[in-house]
Amino acid sequence: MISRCRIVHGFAIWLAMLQCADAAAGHAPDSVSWNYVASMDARRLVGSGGESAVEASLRGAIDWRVTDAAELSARMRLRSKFGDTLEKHPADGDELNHSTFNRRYFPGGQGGRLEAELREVYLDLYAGPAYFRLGKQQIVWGQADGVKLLDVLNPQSFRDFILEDFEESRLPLWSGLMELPIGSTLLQLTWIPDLTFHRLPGPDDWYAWTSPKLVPPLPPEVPIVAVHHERPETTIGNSELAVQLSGFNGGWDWTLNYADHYEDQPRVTTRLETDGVVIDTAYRRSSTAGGSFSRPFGSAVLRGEIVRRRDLPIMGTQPDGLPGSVPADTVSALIAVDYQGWRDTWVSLQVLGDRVLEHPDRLVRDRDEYLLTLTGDRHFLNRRFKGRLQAFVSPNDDDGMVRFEVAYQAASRVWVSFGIDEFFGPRRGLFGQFADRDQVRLSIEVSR
Amino acid sequence: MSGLEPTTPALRILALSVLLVCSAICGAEGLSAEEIVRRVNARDQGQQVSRTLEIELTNRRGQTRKQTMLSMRRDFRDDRRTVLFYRSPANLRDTALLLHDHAETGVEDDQWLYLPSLRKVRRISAANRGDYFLGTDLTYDDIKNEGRLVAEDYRFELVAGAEPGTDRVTVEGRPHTREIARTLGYSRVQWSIDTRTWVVHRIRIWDRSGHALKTVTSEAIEQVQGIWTVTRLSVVNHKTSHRTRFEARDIDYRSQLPERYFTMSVLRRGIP
Repeated sequence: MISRCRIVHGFAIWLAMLQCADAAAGHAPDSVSWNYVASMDARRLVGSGGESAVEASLRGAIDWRVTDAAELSARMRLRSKFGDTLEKHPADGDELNHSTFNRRYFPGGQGGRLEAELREVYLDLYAGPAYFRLGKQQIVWGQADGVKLLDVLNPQSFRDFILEDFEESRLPLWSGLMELPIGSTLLQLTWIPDLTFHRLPGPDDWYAWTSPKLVPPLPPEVPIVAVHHERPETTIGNSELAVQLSGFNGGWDWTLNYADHYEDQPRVTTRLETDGVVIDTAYRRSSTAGGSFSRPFGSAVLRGEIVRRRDLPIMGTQPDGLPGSVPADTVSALIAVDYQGWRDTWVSLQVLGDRVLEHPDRLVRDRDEYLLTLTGDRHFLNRRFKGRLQAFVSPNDDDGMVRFEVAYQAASRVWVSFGIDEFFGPRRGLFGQFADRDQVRLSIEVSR
Repeated sequence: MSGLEPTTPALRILALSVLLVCSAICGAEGLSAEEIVRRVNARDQGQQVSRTLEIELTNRRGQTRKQTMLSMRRDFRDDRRTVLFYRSPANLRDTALLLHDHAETGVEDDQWLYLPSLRKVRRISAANRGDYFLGTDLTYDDIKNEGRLVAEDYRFELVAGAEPGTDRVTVEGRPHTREIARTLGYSRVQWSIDTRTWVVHRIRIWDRSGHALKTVTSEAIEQVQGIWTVTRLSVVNHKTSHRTRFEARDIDYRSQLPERYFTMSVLRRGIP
């Protein structure tokens, strides 16, 4: 239960953040723009434990126009957490999953009640027809909504499963991007030396993974005696490279993509020792090749992606019979239709199909798996009021998730929102594993 | 010889003067609706323009929201491209819209919307041009047309000659087909046009049921760099009692706007 004391404490911290942000904004010179979004979120798990959490956050953005051809930008995030926390040991997680120069700062101690992060800082440069963005940034590929196929260049934080907006959960990386127009197409080249991987939930976190599709299903009576983590060294040779070619022809937007990169999810292997099981995790090289497209047809827009991935670590049975990751190539395709024929309404149906190309008999999952998503957005009262209903359904496991949110713009700078996230299905499923982790959310957001 | 024919030089001069004055005042009455529409559309609007728009949205209870947007437009041969970048409030900041308005009949316009929360450029349908633009009382079509009268959508009729004491005439348009009326959401539109400047002073719009829907008023019209420009525009929606006011500042017709400003990549990156 969220205590009144925690709410008041959280609100006081939040107001203090707001005051500081407003004061800073008032002193910015003309060539600098500074704005912020301060939010306070309260959430409660409906189900086992009835845990509750209050989180105050401040997201600030600074843009400094250095010259007509150069702009320096920075995005920061400060979070203060009260009550139960989604992440029990955030500092440990960063040490495990992040490069040394891409970690959060915990001024309040390793428990992570107070967290500061330089989310992005980059320099935008124009040199003739070429464009460069150098620094810590997010680089987003693909046309999918709510799921990721081509969007592989940046890892993700799973502290909130997939409930957090991707812009907040996507982990920016130190990287260099160049874009160059070639005729009517645009060539994008990316170099990523920052080996930061998915921020995975710990075993005690709100959204800890338990599905056998994600964690090896070890017998409970067999003790885990050690867990070893192996990370690649940050060297030029271990850098990641990516290329995208995009264009617009005959009414079609299209991209072709290729990335040579580390898989952000570690390969998990198990081995038996005399007194128990040892778990080893390691990150392995992979590649992603594919493309995307979109085109309107009347009031509807057709969009899609197709992706082939190499050596994905998929949970299954190792050659020695123990549970562990099995590296396998996959092909995935997504097709979606967005319909805007009703005023102030956007409805989207998305179908994702995924096929494993190797070792299907050794895997926990089905060879072919599907995911359907249905999203409806509606605005009212000149966009002062908006509602969203979103459903994810996995026919393979008969599990899924339904999300509902309403938001009201109380003033130019103030939004209030209420949401419910409900999971259903058997525990073996990606969504069903959280069937007792439904939550209700209330938040207030003030921006400048 | 008719008894009405001027017989003295003074009378001839008087008659000629009256004729000249009448031509000046009533000259537009001699023009057809189509010709008036042609002159409005031929009015110099600049090959390109950039401006900052301050938008104020007020609901029936008097509650106000404010937004700021950077708007740029450039003509590419017969096509027109418009790009809009939201600057404030923060929850809309960096939201951007790109419109390619193709002059060729039968070729649908292209539109893209950049959503900062997704970090993606989303293709949107241009078929729903009667949808209201991001909470304002203007539709996507109103934004795109910027005071032009579209002959492909309407048949025009001169409703009234010069309003007394003004140089304004009123042209009425009715959609050619029911499908166009359904798409636009309008059954009838009247434009009050200043025949000195060929700027639209006021637009009155009726919905498909024939009820008064909204009134668009050019509250301030100035010459900026030699081009007649609406610098303040208000829209009143009579059905919802919601009002939108647009105020344009930092208007610039002269600075060259690079072609790359009107591409999807700049939607993502923002204007340098």
